[in-house]
Amino acid sequence: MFYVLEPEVAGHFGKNSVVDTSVRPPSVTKFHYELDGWLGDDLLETISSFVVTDRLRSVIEQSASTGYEFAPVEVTTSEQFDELYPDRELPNFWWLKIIGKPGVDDLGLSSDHRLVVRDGVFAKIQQRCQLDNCEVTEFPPPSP
Amino acid sequence: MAPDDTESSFYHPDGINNIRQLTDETAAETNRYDYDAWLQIRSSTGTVTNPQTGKGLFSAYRREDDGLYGTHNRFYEADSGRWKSADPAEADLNLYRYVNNNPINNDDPSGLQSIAELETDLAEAMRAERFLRRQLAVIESRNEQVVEAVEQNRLAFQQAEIDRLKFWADLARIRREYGVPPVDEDVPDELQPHPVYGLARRIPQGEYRALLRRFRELGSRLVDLPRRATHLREQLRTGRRQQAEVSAYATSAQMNVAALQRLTAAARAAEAPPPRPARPQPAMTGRGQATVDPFTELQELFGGDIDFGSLRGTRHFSEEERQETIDALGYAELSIATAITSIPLLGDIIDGWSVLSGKDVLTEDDVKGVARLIAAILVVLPIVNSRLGKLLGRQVERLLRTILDRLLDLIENSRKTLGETADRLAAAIGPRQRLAFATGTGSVDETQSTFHFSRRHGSDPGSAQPRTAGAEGVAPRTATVGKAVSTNYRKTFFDAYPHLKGKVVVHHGVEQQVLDLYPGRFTPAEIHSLENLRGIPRSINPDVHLSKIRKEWNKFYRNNANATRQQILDEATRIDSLFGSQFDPPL
Repeated sequence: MFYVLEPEVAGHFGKNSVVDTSVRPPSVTKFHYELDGWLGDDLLETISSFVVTDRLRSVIEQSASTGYEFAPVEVTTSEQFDELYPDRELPNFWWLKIIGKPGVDDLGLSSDHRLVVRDGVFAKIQQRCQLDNCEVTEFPPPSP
Repeated sequence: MAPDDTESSFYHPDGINNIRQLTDETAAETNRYDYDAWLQIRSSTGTVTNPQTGKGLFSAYRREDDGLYGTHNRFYEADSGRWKSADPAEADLNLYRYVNNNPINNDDPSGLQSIAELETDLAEAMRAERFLRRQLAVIESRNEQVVEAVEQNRLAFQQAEIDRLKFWADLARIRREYGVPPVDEDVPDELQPHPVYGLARRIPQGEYRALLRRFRELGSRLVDLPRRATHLREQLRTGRRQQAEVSAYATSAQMNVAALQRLTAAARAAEAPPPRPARPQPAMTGRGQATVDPFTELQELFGGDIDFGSLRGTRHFSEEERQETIDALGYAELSIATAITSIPLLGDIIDGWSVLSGKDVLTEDDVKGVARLIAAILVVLPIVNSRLGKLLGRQVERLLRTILDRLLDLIENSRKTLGETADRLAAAIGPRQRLAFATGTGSVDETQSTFHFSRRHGSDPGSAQPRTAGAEGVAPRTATVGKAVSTNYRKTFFDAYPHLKGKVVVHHGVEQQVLDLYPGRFTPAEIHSLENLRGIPRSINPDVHLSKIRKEWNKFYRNNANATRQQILDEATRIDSLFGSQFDPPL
């Protein structure tokens, strides 16, 4: 069984990103994530590009074997973020690149560019990480 | 031909009181009028001079020189479909709008708020009163039960005292019977260190056990009953205080209902078209009827506020109509006076606030005061929001808004010391309530089962259902952009709304990243224009709201690689309709 995750959207592509946004999902060569606000979830998104904390990276590495890669991401804060959280310290973040097939690999990207995760992996993530602002639905949705 | 004392004409209004036809005494048509919905005359025929075209037989007339329709309160211009001056009652957000821009279904012969709105206010006020009466009945019944329990407890304690005396008498008797001396001869039985235990092996076992059981049971009764008495006394004190407070609120609500009923009746009398009998009756003064000009009395009633001179001569009233008019106006005056006296809580609120206003941070001791203050404000809100409240002027509304804003600041500052209590207090005011206040729909929540007066839309600002355009029957405000002279969007926003500085987080309706995601659709000047800026109050967890807004936009971006400018604006309109009611200024 698999789940579709729509994570917290804490920011957007920063100006240092190298990205083609004319396609979906956007083709990202270099990922710069600029935070506008962060409610604390370990899994973040902007337009099908995902960012995870150190904690979530280690959970994924322990529980999932296929469908993903990690790469460095530059994370900065916007003016709005600084206004909302003047003294907020940030953890280390990683770019979670999804390369798997949905419903086959542990992590995949659905046809409408949403993150698909195997139930066992999702259970581990839920146990050890914060996903308070992540919408979760079954994949594929149950037939009526 | 002008109507005079020797000739009569008969008005024939349509379903929304537009005069469509004039007939003479022989029922022959003399005049005919055809209008569009906005009262613009499409065509007219006829020979009788008649200023009473347009809305309503009683209170509207059409000026010959400029074609404006006059009411008792202001002039309406059919060409533009707008009133020429602002609504004196300030009953609409748009003070010049005619019948909510819906002339097919509404009319407004007085130029003031419609009877339907008054009836809505009245229904809300009646609901509030019913709610308070029910709460009062619950509290009274609970207090009666507590009084009964106090009495029962007192009797039980008396009985325990009697049993205590009996017990010691029995103990002395048994000791005598079995020749067992007290441990200490000089100390009374009840003060002996082990009055029963010392008998364990000296009297028969059965008797010893019975004595011990009575001793223990008596001991617990004599400890428990006084404790319970203290608890019941405290409960009764609290209950009676609640009863007094709710009783005061209920009385206030009752007066509000009475005042609204009078005002509604007055408005009905003022707006009602003349009765339409089976046979047409002369609407103008006929032969043999007394002719009375009421304008002198009207002028006396209203002083110099309204110039009734311009109405003079346009219409003659029968004695009966004249009396009805005077009565209706009298009711209106009385209603206003009643409204002023029906808000005694205002004084309490202001007194309460004067105590709190000197504080920067609330203490636990202040919490009860703040809770009472909020409860009082929430009870007063529907009154202030009602038509009567509006008649009292915007000053009261501004005052209460200021107090609510300052309370929120105070609660925010006190979060560390108050913990969850601060959240509950903040939720009691809540953005939805403030919005309801601002838009005149505040009300006491009847569904709330607790004693506390609750705001209308639930207790969690975050969970409040967004106000949708469909639910309100109002078209959504369409998102748009203008041209900014500066990219410093905060400055642009706060220059326009200086009073919101420090109180809101500014964000863009159409997000800034649209410039990169969809190049060429918008310019930076458009994105940073005032029309595209929104303020989210800091008091309603702006980060949570911004997060929800970002998520909505993210779904749009994910599914639209090549969105057009209009699609983006449509999405901004949709998102505004979800969250705009919580913005400041609200959308």
